[in-house]
Amino acid sequence: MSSPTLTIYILICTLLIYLIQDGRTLMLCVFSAFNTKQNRVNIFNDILPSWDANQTWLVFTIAGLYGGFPIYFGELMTQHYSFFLVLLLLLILRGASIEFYIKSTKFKYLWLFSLSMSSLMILACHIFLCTLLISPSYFSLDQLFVIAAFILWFNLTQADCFLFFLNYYSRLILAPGLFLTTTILLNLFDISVWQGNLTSLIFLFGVAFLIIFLTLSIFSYPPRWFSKTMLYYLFASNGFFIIQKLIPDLIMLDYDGLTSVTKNTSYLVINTFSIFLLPLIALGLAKMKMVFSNNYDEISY
Amino acid sequence: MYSDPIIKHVGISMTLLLLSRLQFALTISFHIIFPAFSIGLATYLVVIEGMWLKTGHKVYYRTARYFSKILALTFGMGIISGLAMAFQMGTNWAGFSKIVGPVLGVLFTLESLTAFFVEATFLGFMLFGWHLVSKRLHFFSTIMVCFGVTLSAFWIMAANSWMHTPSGVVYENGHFIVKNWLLVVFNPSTLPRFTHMIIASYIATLMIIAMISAFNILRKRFQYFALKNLKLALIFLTIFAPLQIIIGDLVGLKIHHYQPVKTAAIEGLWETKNGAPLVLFANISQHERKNTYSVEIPKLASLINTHHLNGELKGLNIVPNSELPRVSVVFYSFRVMVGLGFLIVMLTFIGLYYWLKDSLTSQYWYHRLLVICAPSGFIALLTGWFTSEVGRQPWVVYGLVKTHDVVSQVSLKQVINGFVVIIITYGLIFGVGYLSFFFKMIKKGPVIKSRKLINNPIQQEKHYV
Repeated sequence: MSSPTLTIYILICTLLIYLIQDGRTLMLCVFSAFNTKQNRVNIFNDILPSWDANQTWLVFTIAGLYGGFPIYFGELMTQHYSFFLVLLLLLILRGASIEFYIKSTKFKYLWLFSLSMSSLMILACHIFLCTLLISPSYFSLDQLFVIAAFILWFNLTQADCFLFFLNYYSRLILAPGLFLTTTILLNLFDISVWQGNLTSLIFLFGVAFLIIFLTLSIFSYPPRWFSKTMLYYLFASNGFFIIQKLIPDLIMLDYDGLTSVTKNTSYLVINTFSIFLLPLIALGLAKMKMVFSNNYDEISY
Repeated sequence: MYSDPIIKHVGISMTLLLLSRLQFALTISFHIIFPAFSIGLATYLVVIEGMWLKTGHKVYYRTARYFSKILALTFGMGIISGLAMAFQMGTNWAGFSKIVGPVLGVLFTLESLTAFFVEATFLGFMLFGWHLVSKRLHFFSTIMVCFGVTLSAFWIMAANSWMHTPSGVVYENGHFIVKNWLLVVFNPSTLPRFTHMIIASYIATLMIIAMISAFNILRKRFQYFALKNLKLALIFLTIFAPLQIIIGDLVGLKIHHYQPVKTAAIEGLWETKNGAPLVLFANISQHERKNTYSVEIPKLASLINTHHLNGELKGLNIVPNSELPRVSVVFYSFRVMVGLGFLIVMLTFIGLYYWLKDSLTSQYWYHRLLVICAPSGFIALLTGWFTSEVGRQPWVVYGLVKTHDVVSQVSLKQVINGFVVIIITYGLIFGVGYLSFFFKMIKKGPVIKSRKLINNPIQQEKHYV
């Protein structure tokens, strides 16, 4: 595997991790303003310890894109100047809102509302960003709608797995909805589900997980770890399809600029290093989640 | 509208370049305060927590809990204000990304991998794990956070220093090709500038800690906690403040060797001279290329920059107008930085004197002075950066790539809108928001459950030890 391809795989993975982790956080933040105090405590206990780590995935993706594909990075940012400015301001507002919400006594609800609203708008930005990244050369509303449906379904399910605010029937509607949008998403990009052994295998497993999840949902609430794993799996399986679409666009745009980089062995060393480091970090995060899972009081530092 | 000779010479949209530069200057000036404060606080917390583990005194535990709250707020602000930097590299400086991306992008990626993930992961343990993990694991987390923020500063300083003294690369067909990564990372100015920055962060933070302590002493509350922290701050300032002067001198030698024009701008020197005087104050007229008024000390500039009384200093006249930085900004920023540096040294030794005379708590004028001078460390840090970055202009990569060649060709309207929105957002969130919560935390002080203890230093000592 060549160095740029490897870099793309790493960046797509980090972007997916960011979208999954932050997508869940975003949806929970949106709901936090319209929830009971106990649920809010649970939400913040869950999202705060890994808040900075989530943002780091985004920073890494941006830095990696800057280092690996400087021409693409420059073009993308300049062409969509206003969008990235808005996204930046929303990210700042959301980060500040959560910090100030914890510290504030007088305007607690104002910051909570600001957190909720900025999260909602960032969610919209995620949808636009995904559409932009998947098809940098052309933009259509069809794609935007499908991706919007997919991301909203996905994050709603993630939030539901934590808050259990939906009843069985709603969850029954939600799961096929997710399945349907996934299928439309795949068809939209002209990728046959049965094309390629690895991808079809991953997709089949995703479907199998979904069926089990649905069945379990009818009888009882599924255990959290199970539902989360299923969702991550489904999202990751879609990610692989998206990668297939994305790679040629990036390489074609940047290949001339990259030849100098690819010749440099040090860059390969960095990529290899990152492959070993990421699982370690994931382990660290998993450990942290375990440590904090027993904490039921309102979190404070 | 704007009579900068550089801009006139270039003949491109001068407002676009100026606004893009101002926007970047504004965002990075806001941003740099948070990482610098985080570096200082994280290091202070390592010391404090280590002392708590060793002695078991509650005062160290309370201090660590108190300052970790401030660190949490500051660190969060640092992350979100840092995002702006990453975005702006693409939105406002797309040309810079294209040309320099293969070099600096790799350094930024390394920063994310080796520093950000470490600090972000362990910060969770550090802030929320006081009663959830063992003391040793917590101490290890604090060390890792400190390591992470320091390493992050190293990568950024390596990247920035490379822009000042580029090495290990060849510049071909509008791209940099790296020949030696070690030379890129450890370019001639990396280590002195990194050390200078780290010590500046320590000093700026220690001044804030001293201010918090002085504030509590003046209000006659938490005296035991305040005096302990003030003494610790004075001990560290005694080490770092004079050391900073020595490191600053080393940085000055490097600047003189690699960027003689910047040295000339710092010294306000127009003609090349042996035994050049130190210009204490001057009215710089860049248009006429001379100082219309100046107060000088003979030969001192040569002595400082070359360590020889009759050493040669190049004058600004060796370069044309188009290659001159904004001399007055460099000249005055440097003087503010040095002046504040000496003020901090003076304050430190006054504090030490009263400590040795055992009358530190009763010197209210001194505590008032400490409160007033609290931001001096950060102002010195910022003016130091102004000297460094404005002094590098008109080059973005010194001697190789000019700033006006790498600005994004976006519409002026977009940049103006962006600039206005950024000023409002930054002013409200980082200015009003952060500062109000910061002052609130200072006003509240460390948590002591019994109200009787708050104003009783003897009882506090019994409680803490």
